[in-house]
Amino acid sequence: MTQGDMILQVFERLREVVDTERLNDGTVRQVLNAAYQDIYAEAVAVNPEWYTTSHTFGSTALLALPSVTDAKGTVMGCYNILAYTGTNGAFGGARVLDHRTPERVNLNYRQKGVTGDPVAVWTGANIEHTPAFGGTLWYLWNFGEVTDDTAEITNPGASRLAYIPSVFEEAIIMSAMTQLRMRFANAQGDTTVAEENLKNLTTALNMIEMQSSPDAIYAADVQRPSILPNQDQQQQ
Amino acid sequence: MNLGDLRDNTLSNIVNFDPLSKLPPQVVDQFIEYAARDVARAYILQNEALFRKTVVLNDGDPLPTDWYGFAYRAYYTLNGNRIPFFWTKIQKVARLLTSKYNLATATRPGLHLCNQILNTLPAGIQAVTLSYYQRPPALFGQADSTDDGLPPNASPYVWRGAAVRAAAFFMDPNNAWKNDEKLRQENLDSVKRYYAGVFEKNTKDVRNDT
Repeated sequence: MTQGDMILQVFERLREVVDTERLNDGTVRQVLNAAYQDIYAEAVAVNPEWYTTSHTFGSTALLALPSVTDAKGTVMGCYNILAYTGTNGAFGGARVLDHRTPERVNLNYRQKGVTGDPVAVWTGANIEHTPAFGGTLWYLWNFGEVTDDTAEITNPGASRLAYIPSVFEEAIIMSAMTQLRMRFANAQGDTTVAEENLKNLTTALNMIEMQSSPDAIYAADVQRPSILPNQDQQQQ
Repeated sequence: MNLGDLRDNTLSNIVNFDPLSKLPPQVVDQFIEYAARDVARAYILQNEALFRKTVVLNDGDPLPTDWYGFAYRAYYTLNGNRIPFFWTKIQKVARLLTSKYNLATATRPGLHLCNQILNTLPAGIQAVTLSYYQRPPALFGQADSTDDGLPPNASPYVWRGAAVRAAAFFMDPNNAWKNDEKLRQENLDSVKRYYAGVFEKNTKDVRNDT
């Protein structure tokens, strides 16, 4: 389903729109984009392979994290690293270390990064390698605001990625509906109703934030790469 | 049951509700389509064969547009034999490419779904038959004779589901969002059950992950 069709579906299901003509498609687009991110958090947890992509690079000490542009002009960046495969890694890749660990690891002659078994650490927009390393970075992508209504949201296909698996179509619509109806309820009610709704709005927003916060995603559902022994030790 | 019959059933079920006459048939069709998918997910967990479909892809081909989920069965033909693939996590790819004890080979191939395309290990395997769950047919905007693709005994669940969605359509706008939030949560739960159930069903007896 394209974003244009999503907007139409939301419009059709909100009968208040017909009564008040308060809503414009720009607002629906904005709210839908919020819904995409809401649902992304759910989708990446249950279907991480949908958001898996790779980036191949030559031997380098410092790699800028990939931030590619898809055919529709939307930025898809690195969200979380899954794995490294390497051209010179004896065990198939680099160890991705926790950011507090690399100095200590590299000081230890048994653990330090060597050509056959390099280490890497994610620092902001870059990944540092010790020693220089070449290979393929596998990561989860995410996306920014979708501004093009012809962008395909749920159908994968030739030379395009779908932002969300189609199984979530109704959840996206319902998420947008919730937000728009709360907005409408706040605008409609008298002072008391508005206050009550504001309270409810705050509660609902907090709930949504709790559900979809990175913490909730990372901690529970997305499986950690098995090539992170040092990180596992630290968590224990 | 076809779309026209489902719409009649939905409307009959809520006929005593006065504002019903205002409900545009296209919106009802939307409710029916989503209700049908809800029911289809429940069926997949009970009898997945009803919705399983195969597609033949080469390494690097994109997934079909009606892709709903991987059904964890794939093979290709080598010297007259069907060679099964094992499903692999991205985290295991490095080992499968380099460890001499655990190499993916032509007779022990692996696959994963990076970039929403089929990726085989080793690379370049052609004509892979892939099982997947098909998204139920589109009903919204289709002819009344369009079949919902569900077994005959599913129709009451579909039109009841559509009726629930239609009732939400008429709720008081000041309170409707609470109901919408509930429906959203129920929908997400259904999707999560689907993913968890499908994965469990398909991995219970088969060692398909190295």
